[in-house]
Parts: sequence; structure tokens; C-alpha cells
Amino acid sequence: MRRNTATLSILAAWLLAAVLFGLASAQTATIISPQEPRTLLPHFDLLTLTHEAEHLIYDCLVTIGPDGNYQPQLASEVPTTENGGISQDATVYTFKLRDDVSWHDGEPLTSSDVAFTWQVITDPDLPVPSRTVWDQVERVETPDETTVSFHFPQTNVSFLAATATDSCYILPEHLLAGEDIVNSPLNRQPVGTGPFLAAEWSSGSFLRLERNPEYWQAGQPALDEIIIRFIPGSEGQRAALQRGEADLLLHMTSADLRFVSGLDDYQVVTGPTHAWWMFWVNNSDPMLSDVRVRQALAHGLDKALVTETVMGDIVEPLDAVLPPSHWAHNSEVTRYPFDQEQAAELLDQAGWTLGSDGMRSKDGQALELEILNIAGQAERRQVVQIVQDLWKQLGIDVSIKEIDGPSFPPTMIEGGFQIAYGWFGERQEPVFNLWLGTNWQRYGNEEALELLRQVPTVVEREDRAELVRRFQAAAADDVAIIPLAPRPILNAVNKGLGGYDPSLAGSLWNAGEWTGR
Amino acid sequence: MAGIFPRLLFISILLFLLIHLPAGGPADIYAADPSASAESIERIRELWGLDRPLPVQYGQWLTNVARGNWGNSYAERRPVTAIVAERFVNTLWLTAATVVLALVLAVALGVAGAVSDSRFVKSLIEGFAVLGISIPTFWSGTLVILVFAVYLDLIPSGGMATIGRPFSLTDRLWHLLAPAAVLGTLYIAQWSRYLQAGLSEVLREDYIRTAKAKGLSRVTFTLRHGLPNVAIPFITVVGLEAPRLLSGAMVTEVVFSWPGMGRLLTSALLSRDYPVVMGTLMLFVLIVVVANLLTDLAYGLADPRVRYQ
Repeated sequence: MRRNTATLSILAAWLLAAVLFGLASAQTATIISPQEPRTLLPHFDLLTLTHEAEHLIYDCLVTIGPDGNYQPQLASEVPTTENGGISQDATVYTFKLRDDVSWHDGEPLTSSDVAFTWQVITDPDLPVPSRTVWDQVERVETPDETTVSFHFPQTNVSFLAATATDSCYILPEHLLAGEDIVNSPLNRQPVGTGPFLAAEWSSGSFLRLERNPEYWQAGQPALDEIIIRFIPGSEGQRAALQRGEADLLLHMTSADLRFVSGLDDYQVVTGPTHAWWMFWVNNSDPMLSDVRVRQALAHGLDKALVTETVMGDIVEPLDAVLPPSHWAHNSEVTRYPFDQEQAAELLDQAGWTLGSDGMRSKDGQALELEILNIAGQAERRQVVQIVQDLWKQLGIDVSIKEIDGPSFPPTMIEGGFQIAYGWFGERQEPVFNLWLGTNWQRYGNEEALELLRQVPTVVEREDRAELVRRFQAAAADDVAIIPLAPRPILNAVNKGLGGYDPSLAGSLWNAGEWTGR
Repeated sequence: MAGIFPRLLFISILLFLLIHLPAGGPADIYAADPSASAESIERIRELWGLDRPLPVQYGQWLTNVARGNWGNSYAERRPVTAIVAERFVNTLWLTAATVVLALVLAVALGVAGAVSDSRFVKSLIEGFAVLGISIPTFWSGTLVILVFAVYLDLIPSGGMATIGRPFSLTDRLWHLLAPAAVLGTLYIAQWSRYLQAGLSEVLREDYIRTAKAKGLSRVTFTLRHGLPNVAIPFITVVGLEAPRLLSGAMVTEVVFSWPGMGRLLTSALLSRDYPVVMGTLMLFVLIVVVANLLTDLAYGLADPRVRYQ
């Protein structure tokens, strides 16, 4: 009896040691995020962070690597015209799914999950904010469990990109069909096919994810656990970095660049985007409808001053209306170098002459401009203040108006602005919402816009690029908007975190490959 | 008591109007996205009933609330009551710890200041009070994090608990220490100054001189005869100030990443999550009303002459 007790205690001690050792060697990566996902049920939120966190839990049919090329994910290969996955006229896209993928609850993934995802995205009774491209699909066919094909009424070149980023996550039909999807428990307890399982979500504090032991990608994920801590204040974020508690700080501002470069253990890794900072110019405003005034404003803007001082000198000034990261970028558009004399001359030509008080006016009307900005971000305010100062030097009475985020779109839609500062992100396969959708700048060059309308129907990418480049040249000549600089995503990464490599698919797209400190 | 409901109703109308005043609604947070079309945004507005006239929307909200249904959050897609309850408990931890800490220190400092003969002690306490009232919490909070979390490594950098460890009171108190101290500083300063001034006055009264003449020790007559006589005005000050802790907590919650109601309200306002905003604000209103009521009741306890019919 006594011997039994002794054996038992040794066994217990051994087990305890094993558990403790197991805990000690568990590989955890801690991510600091200023924001929190609103929901983890894909397709119902457009916050960048939501998309990124969803990539830990869900998979897409295909994805985009850091080199900008498509890679297969749930599809066993990337459909192309060569392998027959895309029909010659680009009206049919066929995906062959992997047959070894299962949902986090053990159910197998089938082609009907993919078809169901399309139904959800296009269901008019569901509050889906972005149905782009998916809503152009005419019908979906699932001839067998691993084949799904999407049929379009006419040529569509944008669909592959739509299945690779943002609204690309495949939903579990067996848990959502016939249910109240909007208020589904999956909003908080997601079930995907991705490398990590959502284990614990403490609202306002953290999201803890555990390794999916059944993940289809062999040997992945390497980490046992990922914790996303939501830290809204820069004091807390900086403290977490200084204490070495973080492996990754997502979406830092350029104000933090110098701070991070002073930390030995961290480096700044920029995530590629097709986004850029810009000034919307209201082309229908009485003062700004004169192209010479718009040109003068462009000449009066010292873009390098802004990128070097406020943006941490990590981006170059931008002249085209699409950033250099994009394959259709045109690097040879008309440039408006910083030249105050040229700007003054253009304003003189437009009839806005200098008065004795140093300010310009025409027919007794002063040249007044208001810059609309979204309040709450120091960096944005600094940029707008620099520009205000520069344009004042031209003799323009410039004021700044700040409003909060949700008020911005309605104000822009109503046209209640002259100049507005902000950014816009284009997709890998552009949909030109900036020009053909919102068109807040009220750009009216129909000939140029027609070029963009042709793009989605052109099968050859080089031919599409040519159309987009011609549009960029026209938009630059017209100063339809004033581009400022590309807007990459800035992340501070602990040098001990292995395999970190952001792509257009997001900052966390390859978390399955990461190795811990 | 009966007056509470009309008051709440009136305030709810006012709040409903106020939060709808700025341009942009819950669907507009998507409108700036490159892939959101105007049609899909408009469809969301219809689905959420945001295209209906404001009085109709308010009527709907009020009817639901009367039935105990505070609605679902647009952003989080779960009941407002669940979200607010979660955050309210967290804020309660923070404010309760702050009030306890502030009360203990304010009484200690106030009494010490009133009793002490030492000019040095008096100016020290006064100096602390002036600093405490003047320094904004976002600045002192940053400083506390930098010194105690980063350089000295004595406290966590933020949050409410150590992630991955089961709940323990010690862990919670360890996380509460810095935010409660930072948030409490202002109240320690205000309340101790108030108490000191009141107490100094009372200590000059005749009955105190009598107590002194009887040979009571300084500590005894201060605590037994002095303190009870400043209690009523002091309770009023504390009772009126306590609800203001909630607004002060907003800043502290951001600095120390405390997942409380202040942060919930800020993010709900910025995403125009009307059901959550209304739920949070109405709870704030209720707290103020209840705090006033409790203050009145506390008079009765503190002063036997005050009795309610």
C-alpha cells in the first residue's frame, strides 16, 4: 500500500513536471493591436484588423504571397487560363478544392461550403458591406465535392483577386445554413479551417488562439498559441515593446517610427498595400473647377517636406493616382514639382491676383479654401497644418475643418467640401471605386473615365495596364486629385519572431509559418 | 423615487437626438472602403431601419427597452445588455478600488493636515493637493507606466489580468494598483483638501475646546467629535463626485488598457453603434440618479437629525 502511494506520487510528480515543462516550452506569439475586431464572422466588417485576424482562423481559395503572385490555399492549384481553371473568355472560374481540409469541429470542407459563402455574400437580406465582384457571379456549380465553378454573364478579370484577399474567407455551411447568421454565435466563437482556433475572446482585452492540430498544411502551425492584446493607448503599446512582451505591434503610426528604431529587439516591417494618402479636390467647386487653380495647388505642395518630416522618410512622394506597388502604376505622368513661382503664375493667369494684404482675390471675392480632415490622429493633423501653411504662402486663405470618421463619407457624398485629406486603397485587381463608384472629387472627364470602364472586360493583363496607365496620365493632367505618398502598413516586429513576411493578403496571412522566440 | 422615470424618459429623448445630430450613421463607417458600393451601404441602412424617421426609430427603441430588450450591437452582433454588463463589471472594479483608495488616503491626509501643527506637513499635504488637482491623468498615467512598468518593472504595463492564468484576487489588485492610484489622485487631492478645511473650522468650535479641557487626547476629540461634524458636507461632495469618476475613468482606461465602459462608449460613438451608445449612456444616467439617492440616504446615517418619512 505504502509502495503504491510512493509510486503514485512519483508518477504524479512526473506528470506535473511534464505539464510544467510543456507549458514552459509552449511557443506563444503576442500581437499588440490598437484596434479590436468587431466580429470574427467574415464578410460583415471591413476593418483592416478584422480581415487580418480572420486570416488566422479562416482560409481563402487562393492567397497572395509577398512577391505579389497568387498561391493556392483551399484550392489545390491557382486557376489560370493555361490549366483550364479560367475559361479563355474569363467567364468561368473553376476551383479544384483540396480533399484533406476539415473545419475546426471536424466536418470536412466541401464545394458546397464555397457555394454557400457566395450565397451569404450576395444575400440581399444580410448586412454585407462589400459584395464587390461576388455579386457579378451569375451562378455557381458544384459538380462534385471538390469542384466549384463560378459563371459570369460576361468577361470578368477581377474574380481571382476577390477570392484571395479581404472578402475571400470560406464559411461553414453546416453551422450557418438556415440559422440567424447576423446574430450567430460564430460572431464570437468562429469556426474556420485556418491554422488557429479561437480559444478565448475577452472583450476589450485580448483574443487568444490555439494551434489547430488538424491543420491541412503539413507541419503548420509552428506556434502553439497566438495572443492578440488590444492596447488602444500608445503609452501601453510602447511599454509592451520596451518590456519585450510583444512579438508584433500592428498598424503603428509613423510617430512611433523613431521610438521603435531605438529599440534593439525590434525592427519595422512595412506591409505592402495599394493605398495612398491624397487630397480630394472638389472638381465642381466654383474656385477649384479651374484646372489652373488645381495645378497651382499641386505646385504649391512640397510633398517631400511632408514625407520626410511627418511620415518618417520611409515613403517617396507620389505623382500618379495609383501607387508604385501596383502593377498598373504609371511612373511617367505629369509631375507638379514644388515651385511657388509657377504656382503664383498659374493663380495670376486664373485671375486670382495678389492684393496689398498679400492675399489673393478675384472680382472682390477672396480666395478661400477649407481643408476637411478626420479628427483624432496627430499625424493627419500635422500633414494638414503643413499644407495649410504652404498654401497660405501662395496668398490663399486656408482653413482646416475637422470632423469624426463616420461623418466623413456623408459630407463627401453631399459635396460639402473643397479639399479633403485622407487615403484610399485600391485592390490587386482594381475596381476603381474612387472614380467609378464614390467619385467624391466629382471628376468629370468622361473620356478618361471610359478607359476605366473598359478595364474589367479586357482579358490580357498588359492590355488592362495600358488602359489604366492612360487614365493615370489624364487624371494627372487634370489634377483630378492631388496624390501625396503611398501608405504602407507599418508593423514593429520582434527580431526573435521567425518567418514574419506580410503580403497584400495582410499582416498575419502566413502566421502558420511563424516560429517563436 | 417616482420622479425617476419621467426624468429618465426625458434624458433618453435628449440623448437619442444628440447622438443622431452629427452626420454619418452606423452604415457610413463602411462607406470609405474601396470595395463597398453605395448600394450595399444603402441596403444596410434599410435592413437596420436607419432610413426611417427619427421619432419612429426612437419609438421602436423605447418600445423594445420597455420590454427589456436593449437591442443588439451593430458592430458586435450580440445583445447590448451582455456587452454593457461585461464592461460595467470591469469599470466597477476600477472605480470601486479608486473610491476606496481615495477615501482612505483623503481622510488620512485631511485629518493629518488639520491636526498637525507642523508647517512642513501642512505645506506638503497642500502641495500634493495642488499637484493632484492640476496634473491630468493621461500625463500622470504615462509617467507611472514609464517609471513603474518599464524602468522598475513593478507593475504590469496594462490590462486587467495576466493572460492565460485563472482569476485571482491578488493578480487583479496588482493590475488595479496603478490605474486606481492615477485615477484616484485627483479625488485624494480634492477630498483631502475639503476635509482639512472643514475639520480645521470644526476644531475651533467651543465644544472641541470643552473636549480639550476635559483632557481628551487630540486624536480622540478629532475622530470622535471633529470628524462626525464634517461628515455630512463631505458625503455630499463624495456622492456628487463619484459618478464623475466614470468620465475620468475613460482616459485612464485607454492609458492602462482597462476594458471598461469608457472605452466601450468611445468606440461605440466612433462607429455610431447607437444601441450600445444608448445602453451605456442610460446606465451612466441611472448611476448618477442612484448615487444622488444614496447620498441622501447616507445623510440619515451620518446625522441622526436627518430622517426621511
